[in-house]
Amino acid sequence: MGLLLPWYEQDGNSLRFKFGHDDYQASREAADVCLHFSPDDEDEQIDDVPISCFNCMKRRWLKSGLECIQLKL
Amino acid sequence: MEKSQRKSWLICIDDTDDIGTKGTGEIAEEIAALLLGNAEDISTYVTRHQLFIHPDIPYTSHNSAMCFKLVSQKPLAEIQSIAVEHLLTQSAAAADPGLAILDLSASFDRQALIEFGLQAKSEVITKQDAYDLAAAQGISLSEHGGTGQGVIGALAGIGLRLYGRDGRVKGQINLCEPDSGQNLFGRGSIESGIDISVAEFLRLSKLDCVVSTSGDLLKPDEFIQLSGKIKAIYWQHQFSLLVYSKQGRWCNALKQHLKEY
Repeated sequence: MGLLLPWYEQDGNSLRFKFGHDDYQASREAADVCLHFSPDDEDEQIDDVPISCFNCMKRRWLKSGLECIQLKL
Repeated sequence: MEKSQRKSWLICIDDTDDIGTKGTGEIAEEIAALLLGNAEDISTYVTRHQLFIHPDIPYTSHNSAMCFKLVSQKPLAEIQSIAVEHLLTQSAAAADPGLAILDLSASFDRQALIEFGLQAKSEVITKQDAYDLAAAQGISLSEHGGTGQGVIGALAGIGLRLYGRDGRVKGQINLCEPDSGQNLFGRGSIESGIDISVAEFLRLSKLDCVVSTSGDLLKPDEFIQLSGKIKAIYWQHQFSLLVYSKQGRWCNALKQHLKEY
């Protein structure tokens, strides 16, 4: 998970994305290095570049962004 | 039984999945397929309706409900029985499934349901709120495991479908010759872009209209460029292709455009 720390901050057993809802570039960069990326159902994807945290089934949307729930699984 | 005895229903489910399990949209499509008992029954696209994201709401990852319309001669008890049986076998163990069924031919307060749906996009609502409204409007609302919190989204999805200006269509739109049923581009994405008139697109896709991201309706003789997977939205009570302007041409919307719906 240390690989993701440029894009995420740890909050308990949750990893919060630092860049909100709209920073697609950061979302893609993070997913590119993540060892646990797994695509969500296509209807739940919002980025046209497939490998992106915004498209991952292990992301959970928050009011101000998303959290990665890999650590909780 | 005469065709006139068929009724129209809205059926909506919510909170049936968990990380890595079958999605709610897929389960909704399966229920729709199971309910299509004979050639005269009709089911429309499943629409996905985004609900409120808030710390006090227990959702898996995105909090959306899935709704479809059914035209069938089946009575409510049979519709409910088929839907519930499928929910019980297909929902994730950790899910909190809810099911709402509205008889569109019955008398109900459409505005109250729409307001509930819109409220569920911006406020935290309780199960009791949902049950109270369902009882007042004669809607079948039931929970099928876990906390049953899915009843809130299920009822909200009905309201948002009635609203007619919310949600995107589950899955991708195929272009098929109406007579032969031949799928012109397979079930994958359109790799190299194709130019097609709006009229021809509507004939092949069976969608209702083409609308731009700024809300303008395209005319039948205008051209659009299609590429990738074709997705639709529910707009002004119509299943619609959303397009955006790119270098003077209309192109089918990207996922980044669709996320607003």
